Amino acid sequence: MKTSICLLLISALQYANVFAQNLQLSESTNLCFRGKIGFEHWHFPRKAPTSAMNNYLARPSGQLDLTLQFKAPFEVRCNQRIELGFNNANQNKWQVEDLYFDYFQSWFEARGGYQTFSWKTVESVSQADFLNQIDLEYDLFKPRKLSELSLRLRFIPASDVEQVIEIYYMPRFRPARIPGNKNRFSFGLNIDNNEASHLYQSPGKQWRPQIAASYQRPLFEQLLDARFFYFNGYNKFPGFTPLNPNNPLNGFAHYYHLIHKSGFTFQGEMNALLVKGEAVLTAYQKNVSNQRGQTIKPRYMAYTLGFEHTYYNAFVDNQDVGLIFELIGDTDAGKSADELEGFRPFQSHLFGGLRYAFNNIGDRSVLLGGFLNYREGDMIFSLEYSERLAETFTIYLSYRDLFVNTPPLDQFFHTDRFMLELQYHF
Amino acid sequence: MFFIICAFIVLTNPETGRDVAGLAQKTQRGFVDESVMTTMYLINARQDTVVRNLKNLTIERANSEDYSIIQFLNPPDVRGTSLLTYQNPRGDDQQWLYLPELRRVKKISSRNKSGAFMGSEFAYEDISNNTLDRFEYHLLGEEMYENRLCYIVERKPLYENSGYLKIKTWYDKKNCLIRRAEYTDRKNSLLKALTLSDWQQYETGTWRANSMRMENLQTHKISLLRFTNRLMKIGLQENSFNKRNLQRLLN
Repeated sequence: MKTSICLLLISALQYANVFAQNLQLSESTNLCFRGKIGFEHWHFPRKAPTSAMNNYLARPSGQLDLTLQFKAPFEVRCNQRIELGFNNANQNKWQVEDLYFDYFQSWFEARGGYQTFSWKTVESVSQADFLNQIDLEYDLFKPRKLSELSLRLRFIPASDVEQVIEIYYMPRFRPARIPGNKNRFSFGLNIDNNEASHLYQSPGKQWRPQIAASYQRPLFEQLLDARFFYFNGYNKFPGFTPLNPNNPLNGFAHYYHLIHKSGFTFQGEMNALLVKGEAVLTAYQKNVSNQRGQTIKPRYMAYTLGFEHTYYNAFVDNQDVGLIFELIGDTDAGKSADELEGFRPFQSHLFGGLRYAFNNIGDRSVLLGGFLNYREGDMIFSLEYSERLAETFTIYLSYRDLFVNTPPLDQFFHTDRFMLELQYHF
Repeated sequence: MFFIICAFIVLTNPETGRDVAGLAQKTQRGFVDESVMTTMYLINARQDTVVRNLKNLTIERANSEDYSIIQFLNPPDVRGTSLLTYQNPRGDDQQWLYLPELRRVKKISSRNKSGAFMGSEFAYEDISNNTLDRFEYHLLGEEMYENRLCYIVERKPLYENSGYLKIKTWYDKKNCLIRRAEYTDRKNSLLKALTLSDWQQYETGTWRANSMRMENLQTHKISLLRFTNRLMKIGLQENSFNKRNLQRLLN
């Protein structure tokens, strides 16, 4: 199986060179493609708390992104990724990241199929980027998004400034992937990821469609790009409920709660600063139990606000230093983890990042970043390096170090990680 | 239109550096809208060459408040990355960058005038449409350059964050097209030399140089821009130059 997938990827690579990213199928039809084949290696220097957990992760992967463009305002996209986990079968994945048709006019757009959205404006912890489910099995701190079956309608009213009204309909709910016992990010609760065992707060304990709407427009004489939004659906991170209430050792099922989310995002340039922010009010639709077993009806505002400043030609001509500062907060900050529902690891943090860009042909850059929990003193640091080599290869190296002693992050104290990623792009 | 512009250039006798620059700018306008493929050759001091391909779309607006989209076609890891610029002759431009890997449109600072464009010897301020009021001009005289009699004009940037103290520019006396420019850095050292060639006049009367060679005289690196498949007045719509359309590969 693994050999045949590798052969398939190599064949795709050969064709890629022939087609050179664009294939004219007819006068009115064009096939654009891009893709990559790569390998990731993670090494965890700290001893794992259980012998089942892996000390390293080796993961080859391939991605092919095809877009079929027609002369008419219509295109179809198919973007998929394959990953193989050499020492963890849960990491074997075939993901369709995009599979949709797109119809677009100057005043109206319709896009239907599996889609991945982004409402993110900040660099560290996004509060507003919640439309897609996330794959926590990949990386708890940088989870990948999973595509959602959805229909997005866009209306662009004629006006002097660009305004966009969007309506989202997501007929199927996609459950989260909670890391298994071999994964370093395991919650250690013997959680059943089988969809048949998942529970939903809606009638019949079955999932129901989700909806969202957003309105974008510039504010303050086009100084800020703003988005206002509303969402009615499920909290993406589930609560956990015993499969057998009489014997919790049997394991836990996912329990998805109905919520309303509303809020706004903004980004803009003010003098020499790029300012950005997201604020989201989450209101549970019904009562839930917190981790102490108390009945609560959570309602909280989470926010991330920050700015970015770049010093051009800082030390050397044509090389820049970028600084990012962000405040991550939550109106429930200060409550202990078991008073809350769900996993909310960043509630009172400062994020700082320093990016050195060499602006050379290979786009070499070095990033030093860190989170500080200003209430508890916990810290997470990361150092990242990336560069393009020989035009078609990229290398990414990173090291992440955790100094965490308080819940809920303390259980992941052993997930310090060295990562090497090599990719061939075509 | 073509004849009107030619007549205007021939009949007008510039008396100041600003007059020359004004006439030169007129040769660049009137294109209505434009599509062009750009190939960028980055040549280092050892003569190793790297090639980049871009697609540019521009729509002309009153008062030089043009809109443009640049889409990067290679290297393959950045294919689909697109830059939207709303020019503002009276202040900073507005710019947004679409990052396909993140599916995110990010507002970026347009103050980076002196930064290298795609790792080349061209700075952002060299390739943006600099309007007349952004400079102070001094007509230094006339000089022969490659068998052409040229006006020599010294331009001093008035905008903030320029990497240059002054730019000495050779304008062809016959038609006011720029033939050469020499850039002096903020430390008063000669930094770069730009040579423009393959000038062509299009149906709209607009002139464009289809070859631009920038040599860094300090590092001896060279960047060469070649423009092909240039089309003007093709019916681009102003409302297509928006953040939504950055996400689509340009046909």
